[in-house]
Amino acid sequence: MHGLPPAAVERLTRAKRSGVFTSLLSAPSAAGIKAVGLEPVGEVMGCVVLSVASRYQLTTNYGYNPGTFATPYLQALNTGYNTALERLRAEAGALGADGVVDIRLSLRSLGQAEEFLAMGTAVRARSTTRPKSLFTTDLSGSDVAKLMLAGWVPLQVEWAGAANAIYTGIATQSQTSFYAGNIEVDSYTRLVNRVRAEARTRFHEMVRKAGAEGGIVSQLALSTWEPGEQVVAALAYVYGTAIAKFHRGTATPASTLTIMPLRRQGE
Amino acid sequence: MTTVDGIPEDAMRRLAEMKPGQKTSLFTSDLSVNEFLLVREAGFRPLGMVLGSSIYHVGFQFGRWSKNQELEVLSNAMYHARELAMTRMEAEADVLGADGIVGVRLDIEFKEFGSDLAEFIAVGTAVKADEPGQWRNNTGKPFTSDLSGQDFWTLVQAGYAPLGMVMGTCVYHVAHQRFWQAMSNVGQNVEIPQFTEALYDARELAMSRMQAEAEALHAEGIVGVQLLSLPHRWGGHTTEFFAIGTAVKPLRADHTIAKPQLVLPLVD
Repeated sequence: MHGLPPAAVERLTRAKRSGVFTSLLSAPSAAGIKAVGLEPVGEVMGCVVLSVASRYQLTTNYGYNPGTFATPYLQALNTGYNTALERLRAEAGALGADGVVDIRLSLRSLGQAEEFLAMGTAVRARSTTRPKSLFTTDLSGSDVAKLMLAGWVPLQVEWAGAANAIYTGIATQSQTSFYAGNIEVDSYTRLVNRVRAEARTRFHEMVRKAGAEGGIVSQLALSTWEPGEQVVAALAYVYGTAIAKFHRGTATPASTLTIMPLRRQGE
Repeated sequence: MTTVDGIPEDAMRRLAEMKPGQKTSLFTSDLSVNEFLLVREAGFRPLGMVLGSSIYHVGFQFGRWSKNQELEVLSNAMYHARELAMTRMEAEADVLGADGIVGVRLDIEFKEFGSDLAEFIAVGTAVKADEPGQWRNNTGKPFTSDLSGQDFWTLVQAGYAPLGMVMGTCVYHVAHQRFWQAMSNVGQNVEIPQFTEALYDARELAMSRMQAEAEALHAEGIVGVQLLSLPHRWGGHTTEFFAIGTAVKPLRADHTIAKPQLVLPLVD
């Protein structure tokens, strides 16, 4: 079934037979999704263990374009997260769900390999129409409820990454030396701005391709490292949910009630 | 639990009618769902996430370590690098034709490349008002605000508009005590006046610089001020005092808001 490991298939058949639903949602999230007509079907998971090329291993000879130094690592992350999400979707599909909410992505090192894990709660809508494909979101159940009450529906999670690397030359050395004084380091600034811009552009393109009207970014991360002598690499990724509008009219029909919670300051 | 009629049906119909690749007016936003909805309700449309960044080499400060003093080289570095990041973020928002930037976060990250290198980054969400109006500030730039979407909504409800983020910084060195002075204090509860004075001076410098920026924007006041002591990586005697807030102007004469309902939340 959908290329899932035997243990997962067995869990799915058991879940279908028993009729008991499981969920990873917190109490407010569970109450939230019910309010917008979504029923939890079961907790779903997607996992893959990949052997990942070391970030410090220079796979290319010097003299080649340094921009490719970080590419194997980026590809590993991309494959890992997307495979985990695909397997999560396959599980949810097998349960007859319409979507998965509250998806958490995590990455754990197992020494020689990395485990990519996606966990979420599959839900089914109380409706006669079925979506074209499963919707997925990393937003919590309460957030999904608030969005749907305001006329927006989550479409799918998107993970977009970009990586690049540069050789640092004399200019960088003089700008980072002890006597340089207060000065912006041009090469590093350009590098991190380039990878962040690229990751954001890819995210934007993915959201556009999905046909959504908006993207809610939940994480924008950047890491930098030195894979070798005078080589600096940077990797940035954007993670979030594409959302689509279903209310008619231009304004979002939110009706906020101003309330004052009765609890102590800072809670 | 009551379901709001039609919501799951309408939502699923939208997902069934999804046409990937069709042209839509698209935004990305760094806001949480609460903030996104409140910013919409306040009459603003998110245009996109905007960002500015600078990797900066912080110079070395020569000084007399037995004296309370501001470390001007470090103060200038911290200010200039933040200014670079903010200006780049504002330039991105300008390209999008924004009226302002909300939910701005200013972060400093020291990098693996060396102890004197830090990345200064400013991230926020560019917004445009549904009703055209005088939202930009007196420098012709989009307004900036580090207020959350919730605070931004409340501010606009109360008849104020943000003008810009204002900040002041002061990196201060607190003098090392002389040996005999330190010895005479051992085992006693006494105030160490030179430390007290140093901290007063440093905070005062940071706050007055922030205030000067607000005056330059012709602000009525500053809200959401944070006064932070950031030790960074300079050891126990050198601290950055950083004051940051949002300068505001009045939109109308009265500033009353609807009386809020009191609730007892059933969450931790």
